[in-house]
Amino acid sequence: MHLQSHHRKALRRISLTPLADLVFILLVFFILETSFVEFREVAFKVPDEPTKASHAEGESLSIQVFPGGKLWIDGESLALADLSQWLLRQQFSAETAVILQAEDSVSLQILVEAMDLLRAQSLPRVQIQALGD
Amino acid sequence: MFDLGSEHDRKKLSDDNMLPVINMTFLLLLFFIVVGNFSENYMKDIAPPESSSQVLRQEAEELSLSADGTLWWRGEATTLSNWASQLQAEGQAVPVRVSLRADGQTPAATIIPLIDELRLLKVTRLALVTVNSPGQY
Repeated sequence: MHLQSHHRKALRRISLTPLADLVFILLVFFILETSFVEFREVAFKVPDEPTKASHAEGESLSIQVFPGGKLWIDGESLALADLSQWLLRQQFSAETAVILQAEDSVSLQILVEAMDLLRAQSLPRVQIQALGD
Repeated sequence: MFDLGSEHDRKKLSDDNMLPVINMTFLLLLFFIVVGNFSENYMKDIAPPESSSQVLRQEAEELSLSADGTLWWRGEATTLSNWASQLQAEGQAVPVRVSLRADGQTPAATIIPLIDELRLLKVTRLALVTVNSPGQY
């Protein structure tokens, strides 16, 4: 009984400060190292051969993309922000192959935004090619 | 001179006061361990484009492309042909699905030739890595 009580007292004398220090260090490490960014993806099929708009099988739609998100579709000039509305009016089938013909200086951000909008309108068959190919 | 009893009591009291702090810190620690993402990200200066598409599948082989057109793999600058030969040297085939972590400002003139090169390496599916659009969760 006496020994047990002595042991308990010894345990009580162990300071919690080093434990708190260690836990704080671990906390700082995890705060600095962890990232809360959730990465997403826009996946598409790599064409089997250098893509040509006219060679796409079945129904196809060519969209010419210019810097700043300006689009040219079927002889019509359009802003990227208006693409959804335009697609809704046209009512393409989900099998429609969409070819984004990008001008050289068009940024990937613009292309991804266009692909996002096409996907949202159930047009997942998207290819990217250089304008003028 | 010293009242050992009260000194001991004071120390015990101060340790007891720390318990909630330690509990809170442990909870925060657990939160960061569980919720945080430790995925390897060699190229922290690449800012992928924003999208509201599906969550990235992690299993694909990942290449990075900085805005100046430099291709990176496992933190080292490379070319697609070097990448393919390095994979072969490791006894791996070029995967059919590849993730490309490219900077959002990369011009199409850099991306499109790369897609053509990937096609020659028999890559059939390319996933462009993106981040959440603001306000999309």
